[in-house]
Amino acid sequence: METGPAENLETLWNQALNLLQAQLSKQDFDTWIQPLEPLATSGKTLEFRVPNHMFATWVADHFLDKLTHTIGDVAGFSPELRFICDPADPQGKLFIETAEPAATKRKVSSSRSPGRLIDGYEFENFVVGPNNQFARAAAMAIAKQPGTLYNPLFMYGGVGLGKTHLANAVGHAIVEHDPAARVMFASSDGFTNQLVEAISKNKAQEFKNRVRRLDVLIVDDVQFLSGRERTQEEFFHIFNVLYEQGRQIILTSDKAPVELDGIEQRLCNRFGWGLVADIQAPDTETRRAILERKAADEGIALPARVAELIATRIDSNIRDLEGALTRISAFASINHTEINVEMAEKLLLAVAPDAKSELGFDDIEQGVTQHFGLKPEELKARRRTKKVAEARQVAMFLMRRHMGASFPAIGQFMGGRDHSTVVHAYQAVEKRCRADQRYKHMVDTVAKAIGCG
Amino acid sequence: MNIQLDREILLTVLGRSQGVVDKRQPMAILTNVLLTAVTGELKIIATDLEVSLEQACPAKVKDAGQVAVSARKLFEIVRESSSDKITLKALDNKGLEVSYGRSDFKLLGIDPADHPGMPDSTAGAKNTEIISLPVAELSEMIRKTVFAVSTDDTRSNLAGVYLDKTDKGNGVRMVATDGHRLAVIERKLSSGAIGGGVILPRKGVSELAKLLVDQDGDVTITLTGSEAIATVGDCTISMRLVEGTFPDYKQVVPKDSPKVVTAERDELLQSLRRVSILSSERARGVKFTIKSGLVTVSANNPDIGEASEELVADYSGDDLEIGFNARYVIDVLGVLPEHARVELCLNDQMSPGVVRGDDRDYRYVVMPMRI
Repeated sequence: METGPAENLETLWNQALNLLQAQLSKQDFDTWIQPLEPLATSGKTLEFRVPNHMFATWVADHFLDKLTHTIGDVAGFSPELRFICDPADPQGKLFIETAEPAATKRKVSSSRSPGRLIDGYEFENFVVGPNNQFARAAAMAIAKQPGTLYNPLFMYGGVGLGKTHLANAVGHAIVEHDPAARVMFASSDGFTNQLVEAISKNKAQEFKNRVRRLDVLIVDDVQFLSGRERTQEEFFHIFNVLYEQGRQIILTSDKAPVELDGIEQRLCNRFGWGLVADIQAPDTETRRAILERKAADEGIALPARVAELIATRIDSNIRDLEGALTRISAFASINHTEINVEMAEKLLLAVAPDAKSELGFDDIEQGVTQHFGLKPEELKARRRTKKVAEARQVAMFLMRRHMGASFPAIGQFMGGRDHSTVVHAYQAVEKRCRADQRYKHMVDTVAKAIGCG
Repeated sequence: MNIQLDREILLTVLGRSQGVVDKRQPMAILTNVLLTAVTGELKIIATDLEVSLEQACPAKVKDAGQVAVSARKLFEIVRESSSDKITLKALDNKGLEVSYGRSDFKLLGIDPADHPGMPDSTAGAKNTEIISLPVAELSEMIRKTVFAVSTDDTRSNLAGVYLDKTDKGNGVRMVATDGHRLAVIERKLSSGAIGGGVILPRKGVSELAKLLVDQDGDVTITLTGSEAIATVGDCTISMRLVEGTFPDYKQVVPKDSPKVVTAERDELLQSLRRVSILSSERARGVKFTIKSGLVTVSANNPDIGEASEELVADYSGDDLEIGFNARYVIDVLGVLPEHARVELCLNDQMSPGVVRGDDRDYRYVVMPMRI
C-alpha cells in the first residue's frame, strides 16, 4: 500500500506559505492566504477550507494561478485546488470525493434533462429596458455571488416578459463561472412530476437528496404549485435546507408572493425573504430594441420603420412580438421580397388589429372621465379633490402604459403639467396596483373599457 | 399446500426473512414471503428486489403448493406459539391457515405468481467468479468492517463493503469507509480467486452476517458482475452489487506512522466511553494528549462541562495532541479482541491515524478532527 500524501500536507502547505508570503503584499497574504486551511488531499487534488463562499470565489479568482504554481513547485506536480466552505465540520476527511459516484451520475444524467437549463437564454441576448432593469440587475448580481446576496430571488411579471429567460441566464452564468456548480431548472410542473415520479418509484429520498445537494435551484412559474399540498410540503423542506446552506434559490411567478393563491402562507413568506423583483411589459423603445436584437440574431433585414410599426402595434408581450417578427420574415423569405411597411401592416392586421394605433389621448380621457363620472375639463383643471386627482393619475398612467406616449406629451395634454408630475403619477399608480388588488382591478377595468386592457 | 413443520426452525427462517422484506411498503407484494412446499421441505423466499433470500426448512408435506403472505404477521404468529409443531394450509382465496395447539389463524394472501421470487442470477452473467472461505472468517470480516460503511444515501459508492483481491497470495480483502474512517481486513480464501473489486450493499452484507451465525463450513460466494450470491447451508442470499467506483483506499492507509502508542484495549475503550459523555453530541470530539508513558483523554463541551482521564500507555516519542471523534475509535475498539493491547499509530495532528491489534491483516484508519 502506498503512503498517503495526507501525511505531508501540513509540511507542504507550510513551505508553500513561506513562498507565497514573499510573493504577495502583506495585506493580500494576511487576508486571503493565511486563513486558508488545508483539509485533505487525494492524488493531485488539494482541498482547502475557507470561511465562506465569497472568500472561495475571491481566492479562486485572484490567487488561483499563484497558489497552483507555488504549491506545484513545492509538491513537484501541478495540483488541482479546491476551496470548500464548511465551517461546521471539524472532522477531517480521508479522501476527497471525486464528483459523483458513477451509479448516481448515470441516474442523474438520465433524469436530468427535465432539470436542465434552457439553452440560449443568456444575459447577452437579454434586452434591457426600464421595465426589466431592476430584475436584470438583481439577476446579474446573483450570478456573480450566488447564495449570498439575495436569496431567494423572486421574479414576477406577466406571460412572455422574460422571467424564464432571466432565471436561465443566472443559471448559465453560474455554470460558466463554475462548471461544477449543480444547477437545476424546473418548471413547477416539472418539479411536481419529478417528485411524484420519485414517490411512486419509492425514490423520494433520492430525489430530495439530489435536490438538496444543488447549488442553484430554479423553479419556474411557482404559481402552478397552487393547491398541490404535498409538493408544497416537500418544496418547503427543500427550500429550508437550501436556504440554510446558502444555496441560491430563484423563483418566477406571474404574481407577487403576497398575491399567490393556494400556496401555503409559510411558503409565500419565504418567497419574500430575499429580493422580489417585478418585470413589467416593455415600453415601445424596449420592444423596438428587442425586435432589432432578434432580427440581428437571426439575420433578418428589418427596416427601422417596420420595427417601429411592430413595436407600437404589439404591446402585449415579447413572445407575441417575436411571433410577429417571425411571421413577417417568413412571409418575406417565402415570397422572396424584402420586408417593408405595407407588407408588415397587412400581416399585422391578422395578429393585432389596428385598434391600438387609433388609441389617442382623447380616448383615454373619455374612458377615464366616464369611469370616474367627471367632465373632461375637470381632468385638465387644477382642482385637486381626491377623486379628480385619482382620475388624473390613472389617465396619465394609461396614456403612458397603453399609448407609450412620452411624459412631456402627456403633461402637455393634461393641462400643461410638468413631466415630473406625470412620472410621479405613473409611478404612484404602478406602486398602488402592486399593493392594492382592488385598485389594480379598477385600473384594469378602465383600461379594458377603453379597449387597451 | 398442507404441511406441518417444526416451530423452532420455522421461527429462525422467518426471523431471517424479516430483515430482507421491504418494510417501507412501496410495493405491498414485497412485504410478503413466498412459501413453496415441495417434497420434504418448505422454501421461503423474501426479497426487496435488491437483496433476496431463499431458505429451506424440512417439513412434512401432505400437499405441495405455494402461497405468499405477510412476512411480519406470519413471523409474529409463529413467534407467539407455544407448541412445537405448526401446520400451514393454503386456503382457496390465496390465503394461508396457520394452526397450532388450539389456535387458528387465517391470513390473507396475495397471488404467489405476483411475487418476484429469486432473481435469475445466471441470466446474462459473463465472467462469473466463485470463491469460498470459512464461515467464521467471513463473519469476522463483516463484523470488523461493516460499521464503517457510510450511512449517507447520497454517496452510493460508499454504501457497501468493497471486496478486493489481496496484493499477494490468494486472499480476499474487505474494505469499508464513510470518508472519515476506513476499515480494511484480509483473509485467505479456501478456494477460487477474486478478480476486480466489487461493492456489496450494506443491507445485503448485514443480512448475510445474520445467516452465518451458528453455521460451520465454508460460504460460497458467486460474483456475476451484477450480483453477489452467497450460499451457506440451506440458505442462499443474492444481492445486487452497488454501482460506482470505490475510492482508492490504498492511498489513504498510511504506510509509516512513527508515533506508536500502545495501550490496553479495555482501558482505552472504557475511558473513551466515560469521557465522551461530555463531548459534543454531534461531533463527539475527544482530545488525546500523548506524553511519554501517559495518554490523557479529555472532552470539553462549553454547554455541559468537561471530562478527562489518564491512562498508562507505552509511548516514547515527542508529545502530541490530537483530536478524534470518540465514536470512530470506540467502534473499532469494540471489534478488537478483549484483554489485549492495541496500537494507535500516529503521525501528526492532521494526518490519519491507524488503530490495530495483534492481527496485522486488520487495520483501521481514522482521520483526526480539529479540537
